[in-house]
Amino acid sequence: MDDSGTTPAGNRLHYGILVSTFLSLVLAGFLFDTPSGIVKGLLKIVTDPDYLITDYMGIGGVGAAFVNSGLVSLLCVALLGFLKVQVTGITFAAIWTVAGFSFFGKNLLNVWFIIAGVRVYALYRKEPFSRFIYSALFGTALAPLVTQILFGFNVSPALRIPLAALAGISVGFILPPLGVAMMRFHQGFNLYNIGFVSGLVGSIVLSIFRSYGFIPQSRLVWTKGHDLQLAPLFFAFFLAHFALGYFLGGRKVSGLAAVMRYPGRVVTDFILLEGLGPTLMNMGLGGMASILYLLAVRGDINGPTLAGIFTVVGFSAFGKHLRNMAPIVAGVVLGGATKIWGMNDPPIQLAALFGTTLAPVAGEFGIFWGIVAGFLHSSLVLNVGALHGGFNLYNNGFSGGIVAAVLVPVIEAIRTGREKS
Amino acid sequence: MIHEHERVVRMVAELQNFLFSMGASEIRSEIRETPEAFLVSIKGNTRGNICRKVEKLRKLLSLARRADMEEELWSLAGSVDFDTELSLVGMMSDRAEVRCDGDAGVVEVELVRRK
Repeated sequence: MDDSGTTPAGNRLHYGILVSTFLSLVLAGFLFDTPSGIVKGLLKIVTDPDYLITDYMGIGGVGAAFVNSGLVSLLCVALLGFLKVQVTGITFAAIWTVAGFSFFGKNLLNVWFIIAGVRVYALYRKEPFSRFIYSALFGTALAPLVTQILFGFNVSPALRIPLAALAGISVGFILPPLGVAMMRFHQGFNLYNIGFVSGLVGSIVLSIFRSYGFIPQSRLVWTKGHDLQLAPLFFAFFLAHFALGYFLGGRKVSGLAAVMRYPGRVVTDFILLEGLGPTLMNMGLGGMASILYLLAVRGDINGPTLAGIFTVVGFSAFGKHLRNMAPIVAGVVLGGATKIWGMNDPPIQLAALFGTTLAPVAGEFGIFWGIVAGFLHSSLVLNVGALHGGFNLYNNGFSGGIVAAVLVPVIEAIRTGREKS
Repeated sequence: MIHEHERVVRMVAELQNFLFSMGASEIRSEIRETPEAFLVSIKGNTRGNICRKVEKLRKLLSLARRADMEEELWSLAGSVDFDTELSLVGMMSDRAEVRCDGDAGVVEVELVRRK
């Protein structure tokens, strides 16, 4: 069977894998909490002002965080199915990113306003919504903006509710054209393009908020102590992905070797290029390596780091692999050895995982430049969050876009000069 | 669909980049617009027999049209000269034909992009 998703049978298989993956996440939630505890936790999650960094495990509990992530993802998969979208690597990247960030920032309430905004844009352009579906899914990075207005502003509900809806829909409306325009800025070397766009939009929105006297307090809800339960659970989860990929790929690892030869710059859709089997193996490896890294630096397995791990796993279907991610992580580790922060400081744990947005720099220009990119990113990402006040969940995508846009032309100039000499 | 002409220009630029990377010193491009489609034809000489490498080009250009991916990513086509986005060109085309004459060192690509 063709497993690139270009045949109806291949596409059904891809949908089946996505549904079973995120259904299992919902069911796993009930291992950690009672049904009533989960419902109470979900209510707390959807009403919390959840800008960076807000670990839903600390707001609604581990069980509710799992169920929130699973349900939001399943609803997004249902939307893809309704729109008859062909599932390939970019789809896996989008859904896994949504799933990950539904552990810290996206929830059953706030994502729909952004998605509705993109739908309005499609109506305005008189084009099918399916054309803009990835802007809609990735664009939910700005969902905390909606929650903040709904539950964080001290004004009457008659004003807050329409204002929140208007803000979410307006942001969704402008994301698709901005996404196309900003892609040129970093030339596809930052995999989280919408993260860069959302950083710019979030910075403008926060500036307006500040002009009216609203200054959000910095926030850090970060849970600890779940490692013994969550590390083995997710390691097994990713091992299962690897095993499934191995069997679907004809019990061969040659496809995985082929995946690792790509530089990974956008557009590198591994499912289209190498098929589902090698892609699932690559995703599994990315997930297992991320967990081992966190354990090695004495980090934490919690909502925010699971978002990082899930994003690595998702983008391992669309550009990332161990060869191009390792130099970036090495750059962050080098920063940890020489800068004023520690490797297990919360923002640095996230920088190592999400910093792999710059993996194509290493894939295209080699290990040295990958390390430089990771090193620069680990500093920049600590500073750009202040611009958007944490409203952009993909803070690392914002930083990664700037690093790529500055670094790539310099590398090119140096490389071209060396070739001439 | 907005920026329709720019999209076609970028597809052509991407293919021109590819031919340059194969050692071409002479490239001829032709774009014809009809009410239904854009017809693109590009021909270039190459350094030596590259027909084996052209197999990869053929595979990438034969990818099915993907309006969803195009809408998100089209601006990357033809954006850099050190890497290729040929799969994107494939996803922006409805039909692609690649011909390679190894002895003469010539590669010819024809694309159809329906409106």
